[in-house]
Amino acid sequence: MVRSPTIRKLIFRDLRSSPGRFLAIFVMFALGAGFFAGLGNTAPSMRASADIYLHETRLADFRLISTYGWDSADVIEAAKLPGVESVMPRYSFTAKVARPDGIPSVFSIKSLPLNTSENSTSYLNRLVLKDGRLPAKSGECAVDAAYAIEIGDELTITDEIEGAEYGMIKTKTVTVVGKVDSPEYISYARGNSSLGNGEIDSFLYLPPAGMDSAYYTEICILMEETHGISAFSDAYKDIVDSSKDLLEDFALERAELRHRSIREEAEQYLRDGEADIATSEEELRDGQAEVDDGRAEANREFAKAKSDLQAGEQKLADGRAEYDKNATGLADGEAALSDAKAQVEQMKLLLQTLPPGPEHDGLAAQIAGAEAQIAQNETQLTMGRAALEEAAATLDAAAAELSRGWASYDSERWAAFSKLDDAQAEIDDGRTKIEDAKTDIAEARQDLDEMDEPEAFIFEREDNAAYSTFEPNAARIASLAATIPPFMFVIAALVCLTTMARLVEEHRTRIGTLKALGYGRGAIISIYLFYAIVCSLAGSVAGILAGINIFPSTIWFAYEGLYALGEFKLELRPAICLIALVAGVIVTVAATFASCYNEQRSPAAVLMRPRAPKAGKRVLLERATIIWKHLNFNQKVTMRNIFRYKKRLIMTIVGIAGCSALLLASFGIEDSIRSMADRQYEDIYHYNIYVMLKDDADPGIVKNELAVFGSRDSLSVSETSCTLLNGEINTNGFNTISAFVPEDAAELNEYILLRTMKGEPLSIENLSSGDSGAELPGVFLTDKLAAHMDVGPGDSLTIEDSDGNTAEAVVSGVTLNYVGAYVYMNSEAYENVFSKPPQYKSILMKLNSEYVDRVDEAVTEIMAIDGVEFAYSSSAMRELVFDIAENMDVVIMFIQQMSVMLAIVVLYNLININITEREREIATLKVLGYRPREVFLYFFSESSILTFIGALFGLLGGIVLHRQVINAIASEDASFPLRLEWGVLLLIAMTVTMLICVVVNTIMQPKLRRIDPVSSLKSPE
Amino acid sequence: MSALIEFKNVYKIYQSGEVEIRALDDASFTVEKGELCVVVGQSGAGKTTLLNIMGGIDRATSGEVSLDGAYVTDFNKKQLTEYRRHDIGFVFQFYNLIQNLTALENVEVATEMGEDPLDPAETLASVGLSHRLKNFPAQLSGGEQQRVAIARALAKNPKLLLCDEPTGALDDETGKHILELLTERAKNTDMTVMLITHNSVIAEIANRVIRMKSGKITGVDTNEHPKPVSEIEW
Repeated sequence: MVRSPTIRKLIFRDLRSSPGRFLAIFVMFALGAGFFAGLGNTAPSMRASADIYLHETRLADFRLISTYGWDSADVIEAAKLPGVESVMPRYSFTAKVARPDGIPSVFSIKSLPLNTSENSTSYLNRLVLKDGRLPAKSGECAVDAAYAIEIGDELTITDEIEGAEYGMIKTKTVTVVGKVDSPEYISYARGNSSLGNGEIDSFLYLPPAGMDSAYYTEICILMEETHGISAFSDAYKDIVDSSKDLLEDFALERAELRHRSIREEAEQYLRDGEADIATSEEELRDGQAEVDDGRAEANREFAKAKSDLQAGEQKLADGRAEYDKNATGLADGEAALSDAKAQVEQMKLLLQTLPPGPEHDGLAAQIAGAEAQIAQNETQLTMGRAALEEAAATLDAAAAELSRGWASYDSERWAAFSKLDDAQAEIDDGRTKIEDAKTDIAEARQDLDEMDEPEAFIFEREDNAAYSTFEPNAARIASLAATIPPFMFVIAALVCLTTMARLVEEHRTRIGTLKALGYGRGAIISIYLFYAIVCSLAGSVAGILAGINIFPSTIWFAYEGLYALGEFKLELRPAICLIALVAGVIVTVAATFASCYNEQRSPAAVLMRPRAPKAGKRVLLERATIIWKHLNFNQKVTMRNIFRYKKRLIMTIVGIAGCSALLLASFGIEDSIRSMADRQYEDIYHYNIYVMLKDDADPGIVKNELAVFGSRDSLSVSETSCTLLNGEINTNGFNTISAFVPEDAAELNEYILLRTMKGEPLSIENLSSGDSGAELPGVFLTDKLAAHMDVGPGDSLTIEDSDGNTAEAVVSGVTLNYVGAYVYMNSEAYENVFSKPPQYKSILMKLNSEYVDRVDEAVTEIMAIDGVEFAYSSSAMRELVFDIAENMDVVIMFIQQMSVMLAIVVLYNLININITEREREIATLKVLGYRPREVFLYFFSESSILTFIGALFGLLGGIVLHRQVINAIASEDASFPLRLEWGVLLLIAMTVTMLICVVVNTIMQPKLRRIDPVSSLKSPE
Repeated sequence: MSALIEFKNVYKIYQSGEVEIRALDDASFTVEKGELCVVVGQSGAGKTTLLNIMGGIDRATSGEVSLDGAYVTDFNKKQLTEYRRHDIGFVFQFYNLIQNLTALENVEVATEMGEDPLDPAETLASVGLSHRLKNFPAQLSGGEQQRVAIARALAKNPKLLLCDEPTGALDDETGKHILELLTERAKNTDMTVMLITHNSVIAEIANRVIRMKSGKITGVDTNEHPKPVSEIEW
C-alpha cells in the first residue's frame, strides 16, 4: 500500500507521537467490532454449547406416550423403525413426595434404563452426576441437583400420583444416592402437573428395579439423522417434522394394537365369567327342582297324615256322641228306676193302709213284681254304667292319641318345610349372586364398549418449554447483534472522520511538501488510509479478540440462571469476525477518504502556507437581541465558539447524539424488558387465576365451586388454536394462536383489557357477528400478529381451524399485547367462522379480598376442585415471563457499558481535537491571565452545551433506536412495551451523558493545564 | 524612587543532555516607570526568554526579577497567573486575537478580568479603532489587528506593557503606526512599555535600550532624547 519505507516509517512515527489519536480510532473500532463479533458469535456459541450438551447427554428427539402405555413388543417395534437410532422405554409420572421433614413437594419421577454405562446406546437423556452415584437397586434414587436435599436423606413417594399406579413403585421410601442434572430440564422450571399447586418442584430418577409394572409409560427415541446436526437448525426441524409423521402413525398403530389386546384380554375374562354364570345357573335350576319335588312330596304326606288324624277326630266325636246318648239313656233309666222305686214305696204305704184283702194281696203282688222289675233294672243299670265308664276311658285314650298325633304332625311338617325353605333361600341367594355377576359383566362389557379409543402423543424437544424459550433468547441476542453494532460503526466512522480530518489539517504543510516533492495524490491519500487502517484494524482485531472472549461466555453464564446446559463452548463464526473487520476497514477508508479529499485538491503552494484562520462570524442567536443581551461575555464567547466550526459542531452533536441515543435506547430496552411482564399481567390481564377444566367437567358446577374465591362471577372462555392466512403470509412460524372467545362478551374487559395501540378501548361486544351474510365476522388481533399478517383494521383474512376448515373474517381492531398471539372474537362470530359453538373449557377469575393476598393457597384449593384440570395465577406467570426476560439484562448491561465507553471516547476525542486545534488560543488566554479554572470553564461550557444539544438529538434518536431494537428482539409471540416512562429515562440518559461530559472534561483538565503559555508566541501554523 | 523593573543576575539555563544552553546568562538591568524600553538582539540572543520571564510565562533558573517591588521570581504558579492578569499587558507578534470575537469583544476578554479596567470601547477609540468595534479580526488589516491587541493589553490597565516584536508581522508603514501608538502611550500615560525586537533601528525611539547577545546583556543605554518614530527608517 505504502511502498516507500521512509513514508512508512513516518506513519509509524506519527502513530507513536500521537497516542491519543491512535487510541481514539483504536477504541472506537475495538468497541464496534468487538460488540459486533462478540454478540454475533454469542448466539452461535449458545446454540453450539447447548448442542454439545444435548449430544453428550443423548437427549431424546421424541417421547412417545400412549394412553395405555407401551409393552416390550412396542419397544422392540419402535427400535426397528427406519431412522431410529436408539429407544429407551421407561416409567414417567408425577407424584407428591414427602421429605423427611414431612413437607410434600411435587416431583416428576422417571426411571433409568437397566444399563447406564457410557457405551449403552439405549441410555438416553443421560444424567450428569453432580454428586454421589446413580441409583442401582430398588429403594434408591437420584435427585435434581438443584433440590435442597442431602445424599442419604430419604424421600417418601405418596399415593397422590398422576400418570402411573401407586402399586407400580416397589419401594415407596427411597434414599437419595446421587444428585444429578438432567438434559430434560435445561431450565429451572420443572414443569406443571395437576397435583399440588400445579407446579412441579423437582425431579428424581429411580432405577428400573424400583418399578414393577407390565407396561412402560413412555418410549424415548433418538433419531439417527439428528446426530451432528444442531438442534436449533432448520435441518433438525425438517428431520423432526418428517420423522414425526412416521412416529405418529407408528404410535397410533401400536397404541391401537395395545388397546385391542387389552380389550381382547378383558373380553376373554368376561366370557369366562359368563360361562361360570351359566354353570351356576344350571346347578341352581337342579336344586330348585329338587326343592320343588320335596315340597310336593311333603305336602302329599302331610295331607294324608292330616286326614287320618282328622278321621280319628271324627271317630272320637262319634264315640263321644254315643257315650253321651248312652249316658243320657242311663240317666233316663236311673230316673225311671227311682220313679219306679218311689211308686213302690207309695204302693207299700198304700198297702199298709189297705186291709188285707185282695186288694192287698193284689197290691202286694204288684209290689213284689215291681220290686223284681226294679232289681232287674238296677242290675241292668249297673252294667250299663260300667259299660259307659269303660267307653269314657276308651274315648279319653283315643283323644290323647289324637293330640299326640297332631303334635308330631306339626313338628314333622315344620322340620320338613324349614329344610325346604333353607334350600330355597340358598337357591335364591345363588340367583341374586348370579344377577349381580351378570350386572357386573354387563357393566364391564359396557365399560369395554365405552373404553376410550387409544390416544398416542408424541413430544419433541420443542414441546419442552425451556427449549422453546432458549432459541428465541439466542435469536434475540443475534437480533441485537444485528441492530446495535451498525450504529456503533457509524459513530466510529464519525470519530474516525474527525480525527483524520484533524490529522490531515495538522499535516497540511507536510502534505504540501510531499506534493511539491512529486508525490501523487493517490500516494499521499494512501499514507493516511494506511494510517487509519492500521489504527482501525488494530482496534478491530483487539476488539474482536476481546469481544469473542468476553461477550459469549458472559452472556452464557448470565443465562445459566435460566438454563442448565453444561459447559460453555465458543463457536466462532469466522464470517462474522470477517464482517466486523471488513466493516471497520470500509468505514475507515470512507471516513479517511472524505477527510483527505478536499485537502488533496489544493495545490502544493496553497497547502504549504498556513490555512487562513477561519473568520469569526455572528451567530444567529445574536439576532435575537433580547437573549443575546442577557448573556454574559463568556456565554457569548461560548456561543460564538460553538457555532464557529459548523462541521465540528455537527460532528460533535452527531457523535454525542449517537452515544446518548444508544444509552437511552439501552435504558429503554432494559425498561421495556423488565416491564413487559407487568404490562401484560397487570395492565392487560386483570384476572388473578386462569382455570382449565377437564374435558368432561361441567363448567357450571365448577363455576359454582369457584364462587367462594371470586370477587365477581368468573368468566368462561374458549380458547381454540387456529392458523391465520393472508395471501402468501401465514402464521406457521407461531407457537400457538388462540381464537379467544368469552362466554359473556360484555364481561371480557373486566378480565382482559383490550385496547388499541393508542389506548382506546376495544369491545368485542359490538363486533360484527357475520350473521347478516354481507358482513364478515369481526375479530381483534393482537398487535404483533396483525403486524406479521400485514393487516390493519378493515382488512380481511382467512382463519383456519385445526381441522383445516377455513373462513373469512375482518380485522375490526388491533389490540395491544405483549405475550402470546390471540384472535379475540365473540361467540356469534366464532360460530360463523368455525361452524360450531365455542367450547368453554377455561375460566378466568378475579379473587375476592379474602384470597387476593393468598393467591398460591387459592390456586392449590382450586386445583383440588373436581373437574379442574389445571389452574395458575397470573402473578406466577408474570414472574416466569419476568425471569425469562430478565436474562436479557446482561446483554443490555453490555450495551449500556458500551454506550458509556463510546460516549467517553467520542467526547474525549472531540474535546482533545478541540483543545489541540485551539492550543494557541488557550496559550494566549493564559498569557492574558486566565486562571486555570477560567480556562477550564471556557472549554467546559462549550463542550457541555454541545453535549447537551447532542444529547437532546440523541434522546430523540434513542426513542427511534429503542423502537427498532424492540421490534428486532420481539419474537412472534412475545414483544416488549414501547411506551415507557420516557420522562424518567430521558432524565437518566441526559444525566449520564452530561456526567460523562463532566468526567471527560475533568480528565482533560491536565491537558489544558499543560498547555504552555509560551506557545502563544509561536507563529501560527 | 526605585526602578519599576529590576533584573538581578538572572539565569535561564536549558539542560539538553550534556549540552547546557544559557538562554539568559547573568542578566541584570533596571527599567524606570513610564519608560519605553527596547530589548534588541539577534534571534537566539535571549530576548524572548527575557520577555517571557518578565511576563510571568516562564521562570528563571536563578536570579531575581521584580516588578514594582514584587519579586516575580518568587511567585508560585497561581501568583504568576494573577500577576499576568493584573500587572502585565501582552502584545504578540502575531496579535493572537481570538478570531471568533469582534474587536470590542477581544478587548473585553481582558477587561472582564481586570481589577480596574478601562472602558473597552474607549480604549479601542484611543488606538483609533472606534469605527471597527464590531469587526472580527479577519475583517481587519494587520495593523488594525495589532491595535486591537494593544488595546486589549492596555484596557486592563497593567503596570507593564510587554510587546513581542509587535511590528514583526507588519509592513514598515503600519509598523511605524504601531510604534507611534506605543511611544505615545508611554509618554502620555506614564505606562511602562517593554518591547523586544531584532531591529536595532527601533531602539532609537526608546528611553532605554537593552542590547543582548547569546543570552548576555551587552549593554544598557539610556536615551535622554529618543527619536520620534517618524524619523526612523528601516
